[in-house]
Amino acid sequence: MQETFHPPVTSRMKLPDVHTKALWFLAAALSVVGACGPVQDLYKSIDVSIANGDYASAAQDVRKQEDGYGDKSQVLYNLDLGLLYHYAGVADSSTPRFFAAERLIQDLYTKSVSLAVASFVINDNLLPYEGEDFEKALINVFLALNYAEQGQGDEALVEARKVDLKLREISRQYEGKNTYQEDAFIRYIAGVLYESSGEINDAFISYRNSYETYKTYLTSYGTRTPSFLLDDLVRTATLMAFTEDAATYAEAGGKRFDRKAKPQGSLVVVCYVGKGPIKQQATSKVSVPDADGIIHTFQIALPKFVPRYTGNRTYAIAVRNRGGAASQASAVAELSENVTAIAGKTLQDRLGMIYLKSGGRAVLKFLAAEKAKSELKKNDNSALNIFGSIAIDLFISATEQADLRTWRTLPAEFHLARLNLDPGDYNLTVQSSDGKYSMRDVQASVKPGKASFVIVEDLR
Amino acid sequence: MKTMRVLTVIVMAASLTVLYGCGSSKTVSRVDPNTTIDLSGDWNDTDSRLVAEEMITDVLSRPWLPEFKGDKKRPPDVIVGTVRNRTSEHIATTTFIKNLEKELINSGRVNFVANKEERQEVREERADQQENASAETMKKFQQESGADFMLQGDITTIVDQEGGDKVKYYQVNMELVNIETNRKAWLGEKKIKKFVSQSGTKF
Repeated sequence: MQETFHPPVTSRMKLPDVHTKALWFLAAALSVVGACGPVQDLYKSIDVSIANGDYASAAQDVRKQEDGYGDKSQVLYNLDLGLLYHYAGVADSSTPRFFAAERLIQDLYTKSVSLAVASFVINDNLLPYEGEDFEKALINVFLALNYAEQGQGDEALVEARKVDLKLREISRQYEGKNTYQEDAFIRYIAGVLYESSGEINDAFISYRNSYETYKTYLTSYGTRTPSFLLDDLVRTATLMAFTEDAATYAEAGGKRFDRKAKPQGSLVVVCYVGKGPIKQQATSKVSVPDADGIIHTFQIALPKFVPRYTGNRTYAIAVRNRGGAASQASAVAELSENVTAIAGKTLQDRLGMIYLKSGGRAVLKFLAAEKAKSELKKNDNSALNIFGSIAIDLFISATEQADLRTWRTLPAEFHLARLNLDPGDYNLTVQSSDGKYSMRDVQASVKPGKASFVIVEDLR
Repeated sequence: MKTMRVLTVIVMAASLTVLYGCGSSKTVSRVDPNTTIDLSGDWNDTDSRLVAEEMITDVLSRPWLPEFKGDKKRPPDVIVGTVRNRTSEHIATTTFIKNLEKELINSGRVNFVANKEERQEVREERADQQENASAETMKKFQQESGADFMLQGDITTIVDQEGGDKVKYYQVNMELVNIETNRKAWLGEKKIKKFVSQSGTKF
């Protein structure tokens, strides 16, 4: 894939006197470490374990490969490990890893000037990986689910608030022009948690914020509002005696709610579906005019997200009461967060900055190459000149490499189902529409006014 | 031109650091638990101590205490309810609740009753005693003290952020509710404001 890009340089550019030898030295020194970041091979065995649903083995593989990740990708190491433990259902091991990643990312807010200069000259792989914007927010989404699964609602809500704070700060950096400014999924989860702790007013506000955010999700990522959200809005509005709101949401399709009804509890089923996207390199052309006005075209490398899951699997959830009354219920989990789509948009938004930066990098490389070539010309051997020039261009191109690091263990989509049930003990069954995944007889208990979380992973 | 050379030197130095890495050294020194040490800017032991101190001086100086004593001729029995964390940080509320409990008990003017979980454990022990303890040391059932007041509260934060600069404002609210009448006997609050700054660049 090739795109043409023109950096903001004047046609009469004055070449600064670059200290060529020094530049060559550092280029050589840095190219040694240029290939930082986890090697793609590293993920081979991890991907296989994930596809087989063997998350404990995948976590083992990651641990064995800590050196493979390298010290520039410690954030990724902790993210991968934290998420695999989360999939494996070991919240106690998962949570500290996410905290470690979060702390590292916070430390990386302080940018190393020396490394930044180096990345200009060579490429972004020299920089410690600090995560894409959506990755930073998703850390707290998973942390919230870790706590929610353990029944620690207040702690889960702390994480939900952190998502909000982070997204607000990120949007501020983009002057509010970015797409991913709010997360509808975590707002919904916050609503469930507030309702579960008896704070109906806060629950209503969270559901409403979620509902409003889903409207933008449709235009930005093609994700529709989950149908049960309207029921939740009508229920909480009715409980708060917000008659007007209750009527509005009921008209929009929400189920009417009887305040005198026997209190129910709910089962919230979160399904992680498919492999998350990965980054691939796309080259763009940058044209730089030299002092004589002659245009030189260079290639710069940029990352681009490519989806790894494009299926449309759905998940049918059925529950049966284990007690005397043989009551049962079923639902189909609905797409509630399209990670692949969010990843694509956030990277696109960030590319604005990357483009400028890469343009700058291309200019620097161009200057270095020009200077080296002019040094060559001082030798009066034209054959050597030609070969030398080609060698210099090749070397310059070789160091140009997009930063393809990404949180590879993420799912492609989150699906969500909510079943409001009479209190009791239930057997839960989950079945994928393609028939290749099923989870049988998971026990879940429903308490009046409380929500229980069940997490399902199918990352094929 | 000169700047370019300087940059070059910087990058060379940096690249050498990258290549050779840097060793880590660890030192440990003991400090007084009352020393204020702020590292991350998050809620820490100092905040916890400040809240406990403020609440104790306040709660002991208010009229509800002499009023209760004058009325019932005994110090009130208080139970600790929940202090809800409504912040964007994980805060161990038990730390300052325990501080609070300790100071109030030690003042001799308030008694504390074991909370729900603690009571459960004590009850199990008492039940066990009925079978296994000698008759003269065995403790009786239904002799527990019912609490007069419940201590409840919450912590909230407002965070204002701009790049690496952050202003954190915490407010801890606590209240003492009369269990019989649901009347609030005392309201206490403590505000803490912090400015946290993280540099955007380093060498």
